[in-house]
Amino acid sequence: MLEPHWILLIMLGVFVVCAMLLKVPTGLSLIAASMVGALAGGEGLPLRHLVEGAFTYIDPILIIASAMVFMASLEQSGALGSISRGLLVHLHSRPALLVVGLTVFIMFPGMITGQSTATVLTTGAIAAPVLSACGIPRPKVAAIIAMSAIYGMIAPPISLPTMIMGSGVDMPFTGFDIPLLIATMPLAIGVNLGLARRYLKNIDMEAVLGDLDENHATRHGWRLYLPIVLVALLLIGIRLVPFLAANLGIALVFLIGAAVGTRTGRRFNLFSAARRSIRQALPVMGILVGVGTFIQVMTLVGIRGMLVVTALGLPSLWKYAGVAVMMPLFGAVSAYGSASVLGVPFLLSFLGQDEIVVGSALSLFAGLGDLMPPTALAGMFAAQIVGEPNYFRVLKHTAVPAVITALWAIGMIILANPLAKIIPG
Amino acid sequence: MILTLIYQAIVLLFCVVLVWEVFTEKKFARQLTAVVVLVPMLLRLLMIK
Amino acid sequence: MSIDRHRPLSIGISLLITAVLVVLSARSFQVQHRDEVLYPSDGLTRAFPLSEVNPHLAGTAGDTEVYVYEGSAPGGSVLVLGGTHPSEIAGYMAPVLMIETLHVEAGRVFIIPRANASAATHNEPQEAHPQHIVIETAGGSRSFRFGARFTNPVHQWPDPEVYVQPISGTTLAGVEIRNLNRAFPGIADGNLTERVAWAITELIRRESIDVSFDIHESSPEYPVINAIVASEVSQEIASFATISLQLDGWEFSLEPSPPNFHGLSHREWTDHTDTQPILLETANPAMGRLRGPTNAELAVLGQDDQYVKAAAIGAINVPFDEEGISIERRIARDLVAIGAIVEAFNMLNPERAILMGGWPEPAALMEDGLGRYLAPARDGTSPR
Repeated sequence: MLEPHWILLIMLGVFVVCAMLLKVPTGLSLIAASMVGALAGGEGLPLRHLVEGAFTYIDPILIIASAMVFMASLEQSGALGSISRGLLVHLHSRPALLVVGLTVFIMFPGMITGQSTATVLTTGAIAAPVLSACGIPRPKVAAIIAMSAIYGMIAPPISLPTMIMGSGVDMPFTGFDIPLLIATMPLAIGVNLGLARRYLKNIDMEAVLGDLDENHATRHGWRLYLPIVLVALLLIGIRLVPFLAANLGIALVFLIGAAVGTRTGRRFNLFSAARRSIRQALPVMGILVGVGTFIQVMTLVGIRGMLVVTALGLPSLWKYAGVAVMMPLFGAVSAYGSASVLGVPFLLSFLGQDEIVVGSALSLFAGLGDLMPPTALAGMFAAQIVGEPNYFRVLKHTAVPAVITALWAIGMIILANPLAKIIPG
Repeated sequence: MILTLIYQAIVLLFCVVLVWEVFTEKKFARQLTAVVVLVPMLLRLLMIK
Repeated sequence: MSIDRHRPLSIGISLLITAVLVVLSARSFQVQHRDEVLYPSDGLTRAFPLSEVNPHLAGTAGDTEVYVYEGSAPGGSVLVLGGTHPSEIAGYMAPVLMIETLHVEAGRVFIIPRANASAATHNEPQEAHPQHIVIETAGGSRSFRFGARFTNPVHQWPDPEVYVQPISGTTLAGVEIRNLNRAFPGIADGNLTERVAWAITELIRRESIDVSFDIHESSPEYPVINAIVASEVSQEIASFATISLQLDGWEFSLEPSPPNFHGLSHREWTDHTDTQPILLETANPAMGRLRGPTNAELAVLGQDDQYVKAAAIGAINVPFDEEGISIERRIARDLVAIGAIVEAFNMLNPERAILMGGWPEPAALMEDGLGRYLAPARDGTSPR
């Protein structure tokens, strides 16, 4: 049998050949790499392991799918368009505030679903014309959307990378809200203002408003926003008063919101909206299944242990470099995979520093994986929605923000204990 | 438990959509992606895994 | 969107692949739902399902067998719980070995080898654990299930986003709602895990069990290992036992039961029953994140190159060399600890002494192997 590091190289090789040369979808490439890895590890084709790995993500897949249906519902009912229109109408005279408002707006689906792709494809797609209308070039618009989506994925209340790491070290997902806000909000606002700074002068309202969806709020009034309020209440209710709020689960909450959305604004067919949104989410769901399979095989043949022992063996200064390089690189496979395989041992290796702050910072590194070719999910989908054929043009603009993000995260790890002291709760 | 039944119904809904995707999608690679998502969904729907 | 009439072939292939994958993997998953046969020693006096204690368990995947060994002389009583976490395989095999070898002269011994029977029916995703371990006996090989830490979601699903323990109000990650060792003291008609927990707590109360053991394993990098965990009411017998074990050359640390960590067996049995609770913990490399290739041999032999490296750089809490920590060594640790604690109980409560034995000496067990002392496989009764 081959040594684990050789098997890892073979798996990565198969993945790169499938995903880049043969243009096979990422999820399927991961599964192909897993099958070859199992063969190389002398395990034959262990069907049970290949299928079992995916079950880690069965609940996240349900959440993503139902979140996509919810976002489609908001889009169809006119609520999302009305929000971005409202932002523009009220804030066009204060462009900096407009960028901040749009940043939070783009981040929102990421914050409640914990994933970046759905964010890019929903609020990202709605914000894109507004940002373009401000005169920002397309690749930069895509960069703003990609970065916001990544920060949204990490930001509370739902941060899947952080939750994945926490469950690896028996740490409940509580007390993370403020550290995750510290990890994301200053970066999101600072980075986006930096990217947009040269274009924040004149906004031609006439031209811009013509590009946008009509304002449905005038016709439907506050009812238009009822699904958002309802979902927010149910999600917050579960977190704040778990005794009182029936624990419906996030997937059901989103579907309830989506169903309510059919009656609160422009009418639409929920089933066809569901079909369209799942079609959109399919590549991401496929990637999650692929990552599950990939990690199960890595564990099976001993690669996981090899990576963990290597990470733990790094001398302390190198550990920061190791984190900053290995986690985003591995994130090219998937941010979640990076959080699970590398985030957990690194979290353990920073023993003595406040693990909640460290975990929040490590999530940033995992999130940066969404900018890492060949997959670069956030960059690629952002390029797609602004109509930029070459996503490397987008990645050119995200390079500096990515470095700033990495430095911010390293700073948080170094200052974890003092930070933890001043964080309330 | 009622909640289990509701979640099975949600899984059923997504299974139907995924099968629909297999039937309407033109690219074989995307059909296969739907298949790999469908397999764990069906196993959970049938309460096997 | 209309169905493309020109692509029936790729549709057919896709559906065929789906069907084949579902059917084949379903069959391999279902293998794990079959209980392996145990062969109790002739010291067994009776056995009953746990649903006799909690009728809400009847017909569910949480119902499980309770084995009772009664001596001819009166005495105190002991409960031995295995398989609270069925992925901690020595925590299951130690009670199994007891069931197949035990003789009681005085007092009563209750053994529940599969405390969370549902969790024994599946494996945790991404852990790549084996479904079974195989032990060679005189009559051929016997296989035993290697299960999961949590109740099978097939029997209890979905999980809430956060799990709020009903009694203490403590908030935990949602998945912990399926962890039997967070569910004590349990709720008679709660979710499946809570029902099992209640039944066990109620059994302790109903039978006035004097000493209750809950046997676990954990990864070599976990802080609490090779430990005897005792609460304030079992501190005395645990201290006596630890000292006598150390005099005999066994390394054990004595850990207190955290007063505010609710849902744990030793905590809640202390607060809700009159028993003296003890939790035993051995180190098993098959549980850890640092392990190399994951398979049944690792779980049985306990040898792992990655852990040897990790020990060299000081990343783990137990000594670990090429010899590893075999399942025999882990079981032997559990059995000597049980023996020493019962002895300490007898010393402090001579009027309620529990006299039991029959299982192999630790040195013999480690020398001869587990298969030598388990009952031989009998034709057609051993599964698989």
